[in-house]
Amino acid sequence: MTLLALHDVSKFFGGLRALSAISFEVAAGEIVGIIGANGAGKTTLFSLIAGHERASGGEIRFEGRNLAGMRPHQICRLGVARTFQIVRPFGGLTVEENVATAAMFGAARAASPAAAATRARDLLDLVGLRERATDLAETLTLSGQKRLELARAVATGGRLLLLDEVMAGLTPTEVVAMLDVVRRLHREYRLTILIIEHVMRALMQLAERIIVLHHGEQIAEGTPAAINADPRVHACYFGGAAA
Amino acid sequence: MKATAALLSILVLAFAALPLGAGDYFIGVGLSVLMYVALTQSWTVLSGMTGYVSLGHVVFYGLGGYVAALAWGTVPLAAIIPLAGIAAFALAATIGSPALRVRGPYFVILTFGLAELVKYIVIVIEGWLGKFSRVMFGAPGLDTLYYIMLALAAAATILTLSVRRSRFGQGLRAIRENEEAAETVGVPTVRFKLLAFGLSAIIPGMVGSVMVLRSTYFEPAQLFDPVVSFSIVTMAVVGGSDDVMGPLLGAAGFVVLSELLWANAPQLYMIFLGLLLILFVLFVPEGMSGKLFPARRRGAR
Amino acid sequence: MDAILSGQLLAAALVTGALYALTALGLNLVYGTMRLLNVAHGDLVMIGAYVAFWAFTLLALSPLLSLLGSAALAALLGLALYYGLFRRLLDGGKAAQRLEANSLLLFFGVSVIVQNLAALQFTSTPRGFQYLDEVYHFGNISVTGNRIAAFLVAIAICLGVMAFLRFHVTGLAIKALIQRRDAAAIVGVNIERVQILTLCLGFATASVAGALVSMTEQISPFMGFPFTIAAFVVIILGGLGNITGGIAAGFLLGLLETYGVALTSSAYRSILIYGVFVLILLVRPQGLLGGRRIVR
Repeated sequence: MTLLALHDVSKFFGGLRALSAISFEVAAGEIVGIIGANGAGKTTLFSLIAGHERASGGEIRFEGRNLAGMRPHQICRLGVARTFQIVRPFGGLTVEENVATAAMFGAARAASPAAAATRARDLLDLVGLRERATDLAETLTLSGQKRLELARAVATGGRLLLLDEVMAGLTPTEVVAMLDVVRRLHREYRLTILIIEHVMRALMQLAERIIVLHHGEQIAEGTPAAINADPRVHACYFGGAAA
Repeated sequence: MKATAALLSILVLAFAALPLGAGDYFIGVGLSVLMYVALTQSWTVLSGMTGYVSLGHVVFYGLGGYVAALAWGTVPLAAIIPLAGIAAFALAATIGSPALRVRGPYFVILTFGLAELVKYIVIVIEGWLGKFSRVMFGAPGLDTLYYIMLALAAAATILTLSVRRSRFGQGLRAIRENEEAAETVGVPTVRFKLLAFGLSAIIPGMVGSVMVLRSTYFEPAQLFDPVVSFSIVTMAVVGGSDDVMGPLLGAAGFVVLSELLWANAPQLYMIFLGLLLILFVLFVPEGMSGKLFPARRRGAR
Repeated sequence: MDAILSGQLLAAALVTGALYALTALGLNLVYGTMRLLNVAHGDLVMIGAYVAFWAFTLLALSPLLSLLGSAALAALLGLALYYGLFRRLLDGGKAAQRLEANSLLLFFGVSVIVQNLAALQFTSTPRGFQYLDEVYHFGNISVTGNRIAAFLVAIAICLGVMAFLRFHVTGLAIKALIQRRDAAAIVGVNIERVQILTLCLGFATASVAGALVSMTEQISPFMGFPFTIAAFVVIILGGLGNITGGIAAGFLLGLLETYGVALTSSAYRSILIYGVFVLILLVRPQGLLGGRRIVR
């Protein structure tokens, strides 16, 4: 079943063309990666899907529904969750409250504060933040805040998870740990994941399929192996020589 | 929160008992305290919870007073007060949509500008109507107004408590911490902000109507006084806006202070207010209630 | 109708505009370089006015000379504020965060203190003095000498600052700081020194505006508010941090106000100013960016 479908999506900021003619589909349960140089339009793509920006053209459908004109919170309620490239925790709230808030308002719409708290704790267990539950979110390290962001996104109950560079800034050890967390979430919460990443090693292990963006255009799509071998991708992204 | 409920009940009883024993002067002081409790608690529903600081809250107070001044004589007391609240809510609902799109310090000065704008509009309207001030004859006595104000203060406190403990309140806190992230996890930010704005306006509107009837005199420049807005903010900052007890502490403290200083040196009182505001903003942002009851802070800054 | 079309109104509008432009200039500089919304800005005008008043009353000194004193005093206040308040706080973590987020409330507190100190010291009674009030005639237009002087001095200072920003190294540094703070640091601009200079310059120009205003209007401890509001309107209209835009906007506001009041009545003056103020803020909500980084 197709969960997400983009058809000929474009975005202009004034005269600047950030995205054009983006078309692809994501089936339920898939993990699809998005790569491209900085400025290729990846985060813009997420902003369009999640509703923070309005597409200039084309169609975005989630579970068959056209998302045009919807506000971010409505799209969240439908089942789309995202993390931000630069983490945005609710700094003054506790770690648990961060996640519980998402559980209360997201697609899952917890029936009571107690139910929200339970869901929150389960997720915190999974991402390894349970011992920090009563600490203020702003006191976490970057790695902790990234995991919090992840837990919070999943807590909304969304079926589609948009991950924006969750590995950025992490040490190699932390990257391995994060990979593991993402895989577990994917499995236990039956998520479909669209993931933007620069850490290639991690992405190649995670994604079944990769879409390559360059200057706002879709230049390639295929399995990690195929992408790795694609000369166009090499020219644009990897810098010419084979990896 | 049994302790809070018990404490508040005691306070209500204490204030209710005041007119039975005390003379007019003390009832007047009590009235002022209750007034500021009502105003500040209402203010925190918006500004404490969402972080959108309003420096023009006197506009709701003044509008409520204006409604009372216009309606007195033709409309019974029991209808005037709710009417004032409705009018204030209507103003908030109307101006809220565009205003709440403005963020940070710009929202703060916007609210200030709005309050002044409405003040001058009312002045001009009164000019058209040929009135430079209005006097209310046969206004209710001090005792009656005192008990109405007690009810308003209690209502405001209950409102604040309810909002704090509700899902709505949790959403407001999320908005305060990071508005964009809040919307991403499903909080209907626009709607919630508007509702908070409206709720924060109702009781100040009603308070304004009571105060106009207390002074039996209405003059726009006097009623729409920016000092009221400023006092509310200072009381909230000094008393603490993250806890229900904060406004109570702030209001009581400042009214006592003003009673001591105002008669002789109003400027001194204002200077003191300014100093306290600065000191607390910089060094004690959690306010007195935050310092006295630290364990009570849930999800506070 | 004749009155409207006459040069009389235009002359009045130009004088008002020049003073608004000068007042707003300081606010623009301070905001542009330090992102601080100084709501006590109008009180600097008040301080400058009082300095001029007392200099004239006690020492028979012309405001055109004592404005230097106003400027010096204001610059000193800027220094004191910087070293007393900002410096200490911009080092320490927690307090520094609170400074930025709450600078508005802080300045509001300062404003209240300054106004009431003045009221305590000088009483609230408005004061004024006569200086250069001989009337000069240019065709149909009659203007008092003090208005001409105010206009000329204000224009001169505005042009002077513009030239400074364009041609002098430090002026360029200020512009760099306004446009891209981090980039300015990288290319070697001494941020702190430039900030201090800008703060003092901004305070001084506002204070000089006050000295000029004192020649033509009555002064009182609470006269600052309308100037603060007007200054904000001007800098937002002209573009935050855009010095030239601000000067043009100052004149625009002067025209708007003078002609607006002439067409309606003086009771509407406040409605006009606050109305424009509110309107601008509403019409450009998140879009107060326009290329500038706005701190939430």
